[in-house]
Amino acid sequence: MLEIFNDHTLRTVCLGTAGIGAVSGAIGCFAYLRRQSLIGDVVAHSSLLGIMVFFLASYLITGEGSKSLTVLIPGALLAGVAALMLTRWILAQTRLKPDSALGVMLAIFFGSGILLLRWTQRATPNIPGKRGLEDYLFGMAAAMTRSDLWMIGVLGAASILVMLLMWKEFKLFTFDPVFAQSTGLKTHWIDTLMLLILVVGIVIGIQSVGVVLMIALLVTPASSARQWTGHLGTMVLLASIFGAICGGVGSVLSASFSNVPTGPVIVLVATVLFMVSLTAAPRRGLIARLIKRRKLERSAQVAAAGGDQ
Amino acid sequence: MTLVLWTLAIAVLTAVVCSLCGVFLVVKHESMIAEALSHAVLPGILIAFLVFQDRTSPWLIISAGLSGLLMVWVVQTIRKTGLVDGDAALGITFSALFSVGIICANLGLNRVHFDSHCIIDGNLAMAALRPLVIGGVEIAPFAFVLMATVLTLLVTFILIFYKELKLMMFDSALSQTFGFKPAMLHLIWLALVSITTVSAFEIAGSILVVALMIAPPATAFLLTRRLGVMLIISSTIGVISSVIGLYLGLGLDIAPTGPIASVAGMIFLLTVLLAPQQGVLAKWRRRGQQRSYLFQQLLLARLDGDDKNWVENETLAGAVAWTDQQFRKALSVCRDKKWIDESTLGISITGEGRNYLMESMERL
Amino acid sequence: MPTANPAIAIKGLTVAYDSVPVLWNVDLTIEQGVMMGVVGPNGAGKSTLLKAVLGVVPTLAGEVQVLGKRFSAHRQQIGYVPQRTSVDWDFPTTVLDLVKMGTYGRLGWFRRPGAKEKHDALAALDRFEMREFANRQIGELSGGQQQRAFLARAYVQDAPIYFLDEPFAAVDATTEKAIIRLLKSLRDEGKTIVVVHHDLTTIMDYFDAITLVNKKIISSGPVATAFTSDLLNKTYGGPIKNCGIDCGFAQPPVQLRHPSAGNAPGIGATSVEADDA
Repeated sequence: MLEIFNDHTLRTVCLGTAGIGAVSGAIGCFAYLRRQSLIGDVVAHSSLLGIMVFFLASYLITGEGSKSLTVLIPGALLAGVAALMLTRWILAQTRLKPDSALGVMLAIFFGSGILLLRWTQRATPNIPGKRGLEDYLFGMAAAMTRSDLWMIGVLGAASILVMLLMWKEFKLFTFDPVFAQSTGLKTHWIDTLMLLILVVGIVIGIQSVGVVLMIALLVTPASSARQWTGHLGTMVLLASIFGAICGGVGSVLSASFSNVPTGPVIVLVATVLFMVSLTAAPRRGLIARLIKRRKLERSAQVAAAGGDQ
Repeated sequence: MTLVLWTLAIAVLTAVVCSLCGVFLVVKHESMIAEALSHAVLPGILIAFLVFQDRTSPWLIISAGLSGLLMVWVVQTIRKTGLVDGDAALGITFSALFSVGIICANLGLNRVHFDSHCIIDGNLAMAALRPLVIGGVEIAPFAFVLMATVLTLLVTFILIFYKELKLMMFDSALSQTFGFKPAMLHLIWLALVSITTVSAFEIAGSILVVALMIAPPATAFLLTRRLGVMLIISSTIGVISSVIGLYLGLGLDIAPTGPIASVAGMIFLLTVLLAPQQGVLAKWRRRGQQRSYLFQQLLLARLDGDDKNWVENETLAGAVAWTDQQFRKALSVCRDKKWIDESTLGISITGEGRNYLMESMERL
Repeated sequence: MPTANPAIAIKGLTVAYDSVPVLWNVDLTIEQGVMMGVVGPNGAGKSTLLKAVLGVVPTLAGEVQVLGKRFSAHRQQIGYVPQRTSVDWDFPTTVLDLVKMGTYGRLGWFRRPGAKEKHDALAALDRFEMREFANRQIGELSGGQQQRAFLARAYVQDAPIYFLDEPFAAVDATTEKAIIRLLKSLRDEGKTIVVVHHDLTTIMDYFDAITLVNKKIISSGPVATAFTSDLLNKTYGGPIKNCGIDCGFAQPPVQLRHPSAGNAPGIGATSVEADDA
């Protein structure tokens, strides 16, 4: 096991996925509380289109497709934001409900994204740099480079910083948007800022788990953390830690099997953590509830027996 | 029949099946079930394939169905605890199941048949190659027979239970008073959705199943409120998308599933813009009209309420959140209809204006 | 008698969603220190009225003055107690935290709530006898305790005006009486209380003044004059019986307590029976 820390690449990957997990976990808390897990799913799938467009653009400009994150992340961000704005527009203009609008976004953005991906992979003449694009589907963190880490780190840190600065505004707006607005808060801006941070968190997250499984990395640590605490700050902290653990452990495990993508392993680790939280957490957990109910039943029986006398 | 025609036939059948099924999902606001199921069935298919090593085995479908049911059961159980948000529970569960599937695929089936291409993109291009062989005779591509069977099942179900489905879709409370068991029907229908997803999944892949189950029905939803018409429009759009998408895919030499999904999505966007009643353009026109009436009434109301007879233009203009242009337009309409009088002192309301105002207030 | 500014003065307020008017040309004055009920059928615009005054929905026309000045949210003058159904009760927050949220408005952008805010919040909880629940999760409270927690939040804002949206929906009779007692004591302190209410049988008992709304203001004023069967007819579009008044004159009503305590808000039909004659 200690070879992990000797292997430079593995160390980078492990650190990277742990960091990504921490950021996704924290940001995912607000997505979870605002019931935006499906929105997160669609944004994640939609970013594939942005990634492909910017990749192809770099190919057209430089003759070689660049998979550097400085090229692809802006594309992913743009596509994610575009999908959100389009969804909002559709919801405002038609009587369609959110689930249908989101589903159609999936069809359009992810469908086109896959179209471009497959075309790129099969295009003749060969497009250099295309290998590894596939990893955006299910994640393959082993492909992360040092410079990638920097970019992820900067974006992640910036998002967390904004979240901390705007903590009470985010908290108030999430819990009671009408009250928030009535105190003079510019809720429209807060909403936009939170969505932006969500998109950034997702775009960072897909580097480790891929677009298809991003929803799990977004909400599983948060759902798990919720079971252990009733305090928002603690929940976000816990979710970060859980996310980091899932990321780190998952990437190390998947590295042991060379052809298994990172995403599914991270997701399964997160799911195990979730099931443990659901059952074993004190007070909220299922086991705790069972014990409480047994106690109640027993005291009710005692009381009934006492009353009979 | 040539290969291309068979492929076309399979694509069309798949599209119709998914579009029909999806109508009920969209109407009930449960479209995300399609997304969830299309991910959750993967481990079932793979495990069955591992065991039986036969792609045409019916066990694949059964196992996939069980996998889907497992997901539904797990999500219900989690929801019942009240500890987790419903959508999040769905996301967690289907992702977990899908992950199990991906890992299986990569570990155990390295060789040919299942890889991410198939899972996401399906196998439409190759589907026509595998024949159904009964008693040594090649009848038709297996996929064709499968989808034709599912289509028949689906259509039969819809025809037989049409009235009940309609009621259940639009008013489950009412259907209960009529003695239909919406829960029972719901279960059967859920089973059908699973069968559809599962059968189509192998051919179409996860993305196309979702796309076809949501985009054409959503488009139909914009065009009509009647269930029967919705079903017809939805399947028609499904057919169109699959035909165009298939040829697009053949032309670009890629799996047709991505193109079909995109085409379905584009048709939806066009409809959002151009739909006669619900479309954006139509609404702008209508809203513009309604807004004009509203501003005219507001203008008169402001005049009517004041004690003074004459209200200065600026006062009137500043009282309402309208633009200069909207104000002047309202003014000119009121002027033409003789609802107002104008003088150097300002504007006042006329008797006819008062009558019109009273009528419109009644209608409120 | 010196004329103090009315608590709320609304003139010509029109709110429209999608060019369909939801509130039309509303003129309404609410005096200070008054406990006013707002009633009307479903979709009448009652909640919209409150929200429009709070500046939370965009208005098409009209002006709102609070205590003599144009309403500005920053002045924290109205404490808002939301409908129970619109609250996320599983949100991770304690009662104390909830009440502290009422201080956020006065803190401004980057300041955190500190010792003073905590002290004020605890004092507010004392006022509503909720101190012992300070560290309880809001999801663990009973209906009445939840209402009192939100009242404490409004109280800590030091607001002179309180808006409550259907506070008695799904709350049992004893709790309802307790809350009314609290509200009346607030009114006796000089606060103005505006309540969107659904149970017509209790109007006479609870409120000093009443406003009948159905997209327009049908009537507004002291309960004795503004709450008559004719006006109720006009508001609800049909004759109403069992609402506690008789032939339009204020008499001590027969308190018909409907078993509607378990119903969702806004189902006015359970406390109002339209005559089928």
